[in-house]
Amino acid sequence: MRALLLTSALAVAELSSADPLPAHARAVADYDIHVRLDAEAKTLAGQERITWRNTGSEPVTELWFHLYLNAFQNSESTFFKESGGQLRGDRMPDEGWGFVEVKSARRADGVDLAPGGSFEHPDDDNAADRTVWRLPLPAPVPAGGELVLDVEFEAKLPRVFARTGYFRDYFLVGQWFPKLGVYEPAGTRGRAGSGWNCHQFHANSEFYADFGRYRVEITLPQRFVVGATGRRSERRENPDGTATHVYEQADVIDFAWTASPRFLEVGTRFSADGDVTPQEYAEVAAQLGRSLDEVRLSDVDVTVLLQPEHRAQSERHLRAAKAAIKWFGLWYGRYPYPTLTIVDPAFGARGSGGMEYPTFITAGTSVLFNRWPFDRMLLPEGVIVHEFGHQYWQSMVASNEFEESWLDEGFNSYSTGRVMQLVYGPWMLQAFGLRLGGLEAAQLSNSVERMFDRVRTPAWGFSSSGNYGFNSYARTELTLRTLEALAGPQTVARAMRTYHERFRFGHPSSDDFYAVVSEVAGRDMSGFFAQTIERPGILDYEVSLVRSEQVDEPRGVFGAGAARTGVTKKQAREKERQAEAAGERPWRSTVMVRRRGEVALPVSLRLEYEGGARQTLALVEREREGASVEQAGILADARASEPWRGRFKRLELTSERRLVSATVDPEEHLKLDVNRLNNARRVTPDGRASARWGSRFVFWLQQILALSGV
Amino acid sequence: MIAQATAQGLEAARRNKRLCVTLWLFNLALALAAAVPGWRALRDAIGPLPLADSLAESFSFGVLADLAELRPGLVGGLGDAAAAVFALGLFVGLVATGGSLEVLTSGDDRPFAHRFGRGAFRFFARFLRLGAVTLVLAVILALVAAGPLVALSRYLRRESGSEWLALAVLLAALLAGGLALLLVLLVQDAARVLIVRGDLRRVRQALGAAIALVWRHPARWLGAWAWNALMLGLAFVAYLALANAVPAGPLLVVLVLLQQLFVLVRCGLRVALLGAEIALVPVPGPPVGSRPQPAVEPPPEPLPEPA
Repeated sequence: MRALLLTSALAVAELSSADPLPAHARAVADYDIHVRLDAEAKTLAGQERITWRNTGSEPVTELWFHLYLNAFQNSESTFFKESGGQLRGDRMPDEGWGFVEVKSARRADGVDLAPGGSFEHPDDDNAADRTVWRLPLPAPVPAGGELVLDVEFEAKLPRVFARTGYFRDYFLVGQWFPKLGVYEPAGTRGRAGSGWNCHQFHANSEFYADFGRYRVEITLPQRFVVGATGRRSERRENPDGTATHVYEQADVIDFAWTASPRFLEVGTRFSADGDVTPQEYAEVAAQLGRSLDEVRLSDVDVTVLLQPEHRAQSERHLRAAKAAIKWFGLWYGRYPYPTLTIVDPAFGARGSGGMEYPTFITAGTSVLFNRWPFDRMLLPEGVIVHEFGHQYWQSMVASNEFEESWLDEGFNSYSTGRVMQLVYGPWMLQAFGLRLGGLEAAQLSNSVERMFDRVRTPAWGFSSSGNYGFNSYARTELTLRTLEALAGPQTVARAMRTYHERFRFGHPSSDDFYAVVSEVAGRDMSGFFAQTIERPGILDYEVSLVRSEQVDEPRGVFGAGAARTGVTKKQAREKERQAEAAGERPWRSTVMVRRRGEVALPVSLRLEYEGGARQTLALVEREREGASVEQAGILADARASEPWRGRFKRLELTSERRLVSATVDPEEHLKLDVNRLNNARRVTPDGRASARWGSRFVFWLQQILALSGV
Repeated sequence: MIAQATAQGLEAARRNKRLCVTLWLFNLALALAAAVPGWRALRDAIGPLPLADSLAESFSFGVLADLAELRPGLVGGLGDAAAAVFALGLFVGLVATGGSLEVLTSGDDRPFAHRFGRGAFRFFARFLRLGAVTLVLAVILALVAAGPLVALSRYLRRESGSEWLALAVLLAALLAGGLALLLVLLVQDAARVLIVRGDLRRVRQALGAAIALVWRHPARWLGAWAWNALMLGLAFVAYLALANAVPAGPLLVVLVLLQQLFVLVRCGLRVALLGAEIALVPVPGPPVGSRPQPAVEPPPEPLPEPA
């Protein structure tokens, strides 16, 4: 088998020539930043030289900037209003406010443009929000032209309660410098006209940026251990007791850094030869239809900046990082950067955990996970794999997280789930005899309450924060798992790979993904996405009725005139007995399948008869207009025995054996189904499970009574 | 002293098997009263659903969540039943404890049922008043013991850089609160013994004496309780080991027998704890379980001389 796989992979290798993965991004915005940290005052003083290129076909008369630290300036920012002043349970202390201020923005000729700048609020009517800054240009930047701007800025870091800031001598500095939004030429992501896409800082979204080359010099006291986006090219000590760390990285959309004297630095090297076997390369190449060269990975230096009390978990962190680099790389394309830095946030700054920046992610763990009984809770691993996944679905494929968060968070949840399952098995949490799998957790969050929002919604436009989370993360994962089951794992694997290859270092939209899936599947899949992504609604099939009775012999008066005959009850019974003795008395069964949700997908129904015989029927709603199953292009050969009436289908069956049970979607293809328990029903109830739990219920009630004194 | 009291308690349980069985029957009857309707509702809900069969083998969050959605009243109803049983148990517990202490301390020759019933009803109201006072005492003491530590832990979680320290203080808070509650419960037990032995009507007076008793010898009381808790813990571990080995299906009856055996042992240990506590109360009187001494009637007070 291995030889066959290798052979087929080699054959594919011969067929393909050019590597479809782009080597570099088109540099739109380059940043050369010098920043000095005052570790006592928690302030930054910075100068940045921005080189911006107009990639459109029209002159550009203004620049739009993110000034995202202003989200933490006061309680009136959009971020604060949306988050209720808390994120993940942490709240902003009174002394913790932070902000950023542009002191000047000079062209090459020295003219300061900053006085002409103004704050904008394109997403809401919140005039108090100061996270988006518009800078009119006295002379437009022509199409294909370039603008160099020297910006001087000062910032006060917020006390960490969410994402960025300081806690004592720990600094996680993200979203900290004046950064350009994305100038979208007409046609980008289906856009009709050219313009800036520059959203405010929201409670649930913050990423959409252009690619460029970053060179950042960070000056801070020498005692600090520093980590940042990219590779450190230089560290020099200054006479004033500070040190300057220089980091550089091309082809990225952002830059973040961290500093703390307490960091314990551990590292490893992901080896493209040592950490991936030839067999794994061959299998993945065969599955994806790519050459061995195309799926070949490259080496990566991994650094983990751990809190000392988490020293016992260093191997866990490194293993998770390597697993993520390996499997994301194999499935979607090699990780193109030479470094990956993982930050373990300080206790008291856990709000900065679970964040993603290019080549730089933050994890999060607890001393409780150091040993039994919590050491088998894979939360640190899950966070590391997930945050690394954003390198693929946000940093490299730079979709618009504000407007289509599912393309980032959802794709990443799906990918993370696959990695975790493959590397660690099905269970995310195991303790005290209880177990919970990652997919199971996603399914647990699905319910009829999720019917109100559509997935493709701006992050701030969902009916609730919970529905943002469900639709952007879990629902997308369940949708892609469902697609995987219906269209085939290979089709989805190739579609995801193709989508990544085609849009690495680009800005795709949902429509681009739909088109890739249809192209790879070889049929129009838009109906599937119309139902699951573009429209609100839930998927829930149920077997609401199962009945099976022996067919009675007819009785009464039959015929007319001289031919009239009568069959008495006794005679009928006798016939029934004879038929039964001969094993020829048939059974009549009734099964009703109902669709409780709005989403209709092809589904099968398995009927199980006495003696173990099985029959499987495909159920297709032919009469449904719009996004019918057949239009979804899945299960094209499905046949329906009867039309659906409304949202139910009643089957009347006659068989030699008694029907025992009916199960809709017996293969568990439809991971989106909000309730699996109602997918099957049996004719005769089985009391084993209820007896076991009944006895347990009695037992635990007895323990409660013992506690109360009886 | 701890070992002696524990041994006396175990001996009391051994000699009062009927009491142990009575407590078990009380427990079982109350539990069944709530559990049988609950079990029937559960059977009707999941019996026809093959995908719930996995519950026969192990717990499943997914099945539970789906069941809660399909039958919104079922899971809530089972919870309500448990809460109601607990509330009812608080009152029945007073009856059972009064009866048990009367059986363990009285020395008369009346039948067991008579002595149990006499104690159950004679001391119910007093135990109820005692319970109300000790509840207030428990809340105050637990707040005093754990409150500052909880506040400190929250402060440390926010302001200190040490996760270990914050966790250690939180653990200390839990231990302090638990210890305070345990001591109050032991004081309550001591007060109950005093009330039954002396047929005291003044609950606060009995409580004061009990506090003094436990205050003077906290190690004895905690030690006797700890031995009892250790035995209960061992019994529970043994139960779990055996119960997990019982497969689903026809052998369910074995599981039920194991469960009831454990509850019976628990009732026996409850009697043993009461016996140990009786031994720790140094009030002159007949030894636990011994034959009763004839009651000495106080001499009638002389009638006042007519003026």
